[in-house]
Amino acid sequence: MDTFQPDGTIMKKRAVVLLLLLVPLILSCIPIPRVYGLERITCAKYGGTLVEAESLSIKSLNTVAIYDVTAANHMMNIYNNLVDLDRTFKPIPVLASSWDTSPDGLVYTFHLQHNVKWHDGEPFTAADVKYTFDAIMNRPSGYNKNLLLPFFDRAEVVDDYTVQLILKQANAGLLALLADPYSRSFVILPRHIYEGTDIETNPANEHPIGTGPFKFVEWVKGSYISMVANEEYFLGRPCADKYVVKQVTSASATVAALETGEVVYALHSWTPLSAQDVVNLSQDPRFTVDPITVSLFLFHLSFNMRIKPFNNLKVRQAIAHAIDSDKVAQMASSPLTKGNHHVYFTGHWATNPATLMPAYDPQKAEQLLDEAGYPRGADGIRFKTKINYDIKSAHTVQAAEVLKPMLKEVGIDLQLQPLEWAVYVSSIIEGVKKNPNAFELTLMGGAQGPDPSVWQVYLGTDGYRNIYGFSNSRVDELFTLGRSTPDIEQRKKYYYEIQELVLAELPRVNLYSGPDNGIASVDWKNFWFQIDNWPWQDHSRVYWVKGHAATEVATTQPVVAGISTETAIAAAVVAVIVLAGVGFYLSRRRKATIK
Amino acid sequence: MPTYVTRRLIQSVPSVILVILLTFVIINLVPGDPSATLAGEFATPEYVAEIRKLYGFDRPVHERLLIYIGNMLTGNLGRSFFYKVPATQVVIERIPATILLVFPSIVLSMVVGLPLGIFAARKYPSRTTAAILFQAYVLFSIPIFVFGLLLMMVFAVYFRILPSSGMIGQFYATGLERAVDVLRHLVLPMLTLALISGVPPFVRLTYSAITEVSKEDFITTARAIGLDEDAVFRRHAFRNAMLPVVTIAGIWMSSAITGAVFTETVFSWPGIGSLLFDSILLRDYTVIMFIFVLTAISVIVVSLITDIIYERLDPRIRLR
Repeated sequence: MDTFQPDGTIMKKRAVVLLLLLVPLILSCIPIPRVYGLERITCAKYGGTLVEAESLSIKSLNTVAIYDVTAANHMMNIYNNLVDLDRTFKPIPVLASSWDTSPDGLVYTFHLQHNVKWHDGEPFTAADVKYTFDAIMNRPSGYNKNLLLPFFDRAEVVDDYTVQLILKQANAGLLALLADPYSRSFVILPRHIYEGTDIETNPANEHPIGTGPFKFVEWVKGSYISMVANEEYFLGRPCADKYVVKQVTSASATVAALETGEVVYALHSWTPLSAQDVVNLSQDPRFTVDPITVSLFLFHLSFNMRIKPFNNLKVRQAIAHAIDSDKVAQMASSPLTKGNHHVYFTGHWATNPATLMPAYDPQKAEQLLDEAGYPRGADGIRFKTKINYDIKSAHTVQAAEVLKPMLKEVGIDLQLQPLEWAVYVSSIIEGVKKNPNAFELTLMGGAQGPDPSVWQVYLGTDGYRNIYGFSNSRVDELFTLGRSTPDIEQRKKYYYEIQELVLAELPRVNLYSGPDNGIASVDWKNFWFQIDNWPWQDHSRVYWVKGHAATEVATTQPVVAGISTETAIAAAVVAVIVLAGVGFYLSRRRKATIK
Repeated sequence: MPTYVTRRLIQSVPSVILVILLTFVIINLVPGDPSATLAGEFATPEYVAEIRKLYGFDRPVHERLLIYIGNMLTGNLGRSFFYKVPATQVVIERIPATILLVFPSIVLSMVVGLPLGIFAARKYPSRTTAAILFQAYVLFSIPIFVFGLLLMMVFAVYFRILPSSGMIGQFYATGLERAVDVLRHLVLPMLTLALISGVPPFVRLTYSAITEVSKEDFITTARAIGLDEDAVFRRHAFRNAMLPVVTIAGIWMSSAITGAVFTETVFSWPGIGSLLFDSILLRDYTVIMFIFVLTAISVIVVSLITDIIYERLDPRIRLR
């Protein structure tokens, strides 16, 4: 302000303003590690027991030691990762509040949260992180070790709240790998519980102590696991009081349990519910059904580009135009599921918004097929072909059945040949390397995320799942480049280009991702798939509308180890029966008879 | 008696060994092994091969059988590939749940089936008899999972008086509350198992056994010497008719461990039946083997007990 100040205060004010303007300039020169705000948990209501249904049984509660994707579905509630992923699969901080990378991409320095406690009250420190990674690498064999082996060297403690992961080879996919939403095999384990023991057989595997929003209470094998809210969770108390995962093995029992309110939430793909069940539930005003848009699995129609007619680009493009992927997705999963129109996952940070799969246009398809030299014969058929797929996967079977009439409409006779998965792997995935005629078309899915670098398994020249016969040296180069820098904006450029090249050659036609739906009672809101920035299956923010506004201390008696109640009841029942039988027998005995 | 029992047990050892041999070979001949499942989604072919080697799936069947028997003789029945704890532990943890389901079902079946069968036999020939026998046929023909679902829909979903599935619904209860919760969950699966698999055989069997015995000469004699119908029935007909019933009850009890697969699956009852189903899909060989070994042993034990009961019931039989 230009008020006249005779003692030179104007100059001082201007200087201050100038300095203030310089500060952001100065600060932007300092490399600030990327941080996404980690918001504390705020709850509209507290209380209630979240009961989730799942049909497969949980094998273990230590997903670092034992590979179990069913258990992994719930691990984010007992344990935490260093980092996790948001809905576009970009890394977000969890136990690590921020991180920086060395310029050569070989050293990742993680700055850890300061106020995190294990469920038994011990503080969480960098030593726990180092212990976890040492334990993983010291095992003779393991799923997570196998993933790290090509590029990981070791973990180093810098101080109590700083830990470094040192690599042998740059791999920008490290953070997404550590999040591992599929098998949760990199959650951080408590050193004070596991050090010096065998990670596979430590009894803590059945009574896990983690840092997560829910504390473990009880595990009845084949029946359920129960958890209770962790009052000391570093982001604040979760909204629900209790969380239970209940095993319900049949589709009708799952529907019944939802109807009676015994279960309030389920993920479609983890239950035996059919697409029709999901439709019925979506039309029921007591439930909400949300399609889960970003996932790890991308289902597509694969061409064998080595053989006729699929060695012809026009034929491949024609088939892409003949397929209405939205319709396929609806029939395969549920009317709420859309097709995946991008070359990579729709909604993923690495997906090129400009490259779209060929649109549904049967006339264009016919035109291209004519141009390619496959005119309609007298019977209306241009050529016959067959398609293989996994017989056990319900949605794949339905997708195949929808494709048949779609291709028939443009004059292609499609024969359906489902196979058992083990046979599929040996005869097609491995078989095509020896026999180029191993298949013509297949329906395949598989994990192609969460980091785009893993897509190389499908589209790299030597990729294990590259059954199409696709080989592009620039794509191979781009995959290597994509791994070399942790800078997301730079990586985007490489992956965008890969998608352009893939679209140009079209080795496959994307159909849908997932597929999955989240089914919940209307009384529960704010699920992880309904809000943007929260990890897969983390239930710390979901709340019960009938809860209360203030927090309440969760009261749970600890379960006493020893003879389980079921064993006691069973023993009592058997005892009663035996005693009754003996009593009956004795009362029936006549007095001593003469022999 | 003790010598008889010991002798029987020793004689049963070859049977158990034979069961183990056959089961092992058959299970391992089914194509596919758990390597790919164990290796996981992002597994490389090298890792799958590593798993295969680690667990010995690449060795021929006879070699694995010898290793298995060798281990068994030292008491090591193997670890579950998926649970990573001993197979015995995995199976034994689930036995109480199955016993809890099957034993009361057998008792209920007998308590309902025997009197009905006797009643049908006493009233023969009449429409009551026909009605009872027909009902038994109908019940036996209904697929067990359909009936289970029917009970679930009626009592759990429509009337809301019983829980729909599982063994426990009050997850945080202990003591008496937990016991009551388990018993409430027990009602529907037990009714299903009893009404479909238990009651009809008992009704039919008791009816035919009593009808057969009633044609015997000694029954006519008893009537002739002036005993009233009740006494005839109680002292002569009933006792003799019980022998086949005891046989059936024995057979049913011995197959109890794996016999309730459908019921356990429909009601998500965490017993051995659902464990067996799960393990077969996963190819968890050690668990499957142990379940079959247990079944073989229980058949032997129960048939021994049945024979002992026979001796008590039938004075013509003397066990040597």
